[in-house]
Amino acid sequence: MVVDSVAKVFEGRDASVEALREISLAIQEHEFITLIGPSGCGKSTLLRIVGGLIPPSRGAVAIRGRSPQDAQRAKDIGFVFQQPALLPWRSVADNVDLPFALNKQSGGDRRLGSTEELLALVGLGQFARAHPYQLSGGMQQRVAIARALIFDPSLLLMDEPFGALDEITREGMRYELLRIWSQARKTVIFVTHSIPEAIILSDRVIVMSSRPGEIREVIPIDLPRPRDEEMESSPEFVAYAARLRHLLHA
Amino acid sequence: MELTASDAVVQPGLVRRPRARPGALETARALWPSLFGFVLFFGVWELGVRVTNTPPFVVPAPSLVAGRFWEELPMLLGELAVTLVGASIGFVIGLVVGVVGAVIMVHSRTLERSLFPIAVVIKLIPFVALAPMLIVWLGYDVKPKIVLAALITFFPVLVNCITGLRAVDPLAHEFFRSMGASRWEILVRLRWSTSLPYLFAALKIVVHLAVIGAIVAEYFGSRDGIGLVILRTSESLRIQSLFATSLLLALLGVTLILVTNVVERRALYWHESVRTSGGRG
Repeated sequence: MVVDSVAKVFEGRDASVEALREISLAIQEHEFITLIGPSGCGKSTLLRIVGGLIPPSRGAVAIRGRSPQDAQRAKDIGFVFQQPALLPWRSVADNVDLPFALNKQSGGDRRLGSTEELLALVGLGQFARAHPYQLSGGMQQRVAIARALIFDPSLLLMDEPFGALDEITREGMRYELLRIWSQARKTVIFVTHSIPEAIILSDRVIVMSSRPGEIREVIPIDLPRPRDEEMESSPEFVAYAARLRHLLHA
Repeated sequence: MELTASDAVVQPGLVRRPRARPGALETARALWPSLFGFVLFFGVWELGVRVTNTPPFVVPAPSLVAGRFWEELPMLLGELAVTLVGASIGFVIGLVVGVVGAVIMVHSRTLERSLFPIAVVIKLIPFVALAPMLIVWLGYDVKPKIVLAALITFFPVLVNCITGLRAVDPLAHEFFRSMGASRWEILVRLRWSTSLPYLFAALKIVVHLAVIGAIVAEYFGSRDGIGLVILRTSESLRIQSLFATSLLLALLGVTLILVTNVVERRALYWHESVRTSGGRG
């Protein structure tokens, strides 16, 4: 997929804010890309433009040759947000099945697997009949991941999906996501503030600068896969972390 | 498959709808303060009337009211049934108009700007002023009761429903949009359930107001109904009968609110307002 010189300006009543300037990016199929940068650098805005939720002011995005809106209409984009955004009145299984209840005319009844299989994949096999309020924050976010995967989209967009979790749960979720991704290989664009998260997950880390949001540097991560917790203390990892920290604080 | 520490919050056995079922002892313990309050209230009343020798045509003792209530109950129930027919038809109409109006106004700012002020104006007319007009226009039958009950019902339903339909989780809304969901799908699958707690809050206010609306309409001109009973007994200053009628209406109001609470508990078992309020109805 291609992001071609995308820019976004939010027009306010008295002033306009330039959120993104000249973002260009080509992403391979099945690549795991992380966007990292200071708050307000337009990471989430870029993700929403790629997902077709807001239009760019200039430039264009092509996902397998289609516009984001077309990809969205064809249910080819899965979204995971900072909050799980589950429907509290639906059971866990019904929440995971929600994409099939929507936009039926798209003919999108492709399935990555049965609801049970998807819940087993995210480690919630026994919780199909539970309601979201009975689950912890980490478990709710796993349900959101299962919901985003079940209709087998080619592109998965994740906007700080672990940002609202406590640090211990968050570290576990990293490897949980890698395990899920190894079984359901998707193109992933992942927004985060966390340097270790970016390094461990990504094939390439895109470092952004703020106001206006621009790509400062693209760093390929040459760590072997599968990756595990031991790697976080390897010299390569530490070198990447130092470099990222330097770029983010510059 | 390993679960992290924070995942151990819920045991799979707990996974059914948790509805607290208090035992008999707990129910008694929860109820006795209210019972005690009632006994005290009526006891002081009875005693006060007897000690001061107040004549029953001014303030009747509760024992006298109870006797009269029992005597007149068959007649009162017959009249109440008539009132309830008008009140419930009006209630349903008011509910439907309020909900449909809210759906329309949530989807169009222009329509909201043109329709909402009219709703406010209707709401601001005192119903005691409206009732005689309605009777002149519609006649001495069930129609004015229906209209008045509907007018009373519709405004709180409209306002709460608008708020509720707008109260959707913005990220859930974005998820729906990212699926290419239509406005209709967002309404039916997201907005509607989100608005239910707000709708029930309005219903609790409105269920017995609809009955009062019907009674006001009857009071100003009707061939039957509780409103007519109140008119006749007050004209002839039959205070005991007025008390008996009021007692019946109070009991009806309590019943209506309890029924609404039960329906709410069943419909909103997932909502924090129901989950955190314990086992009491």
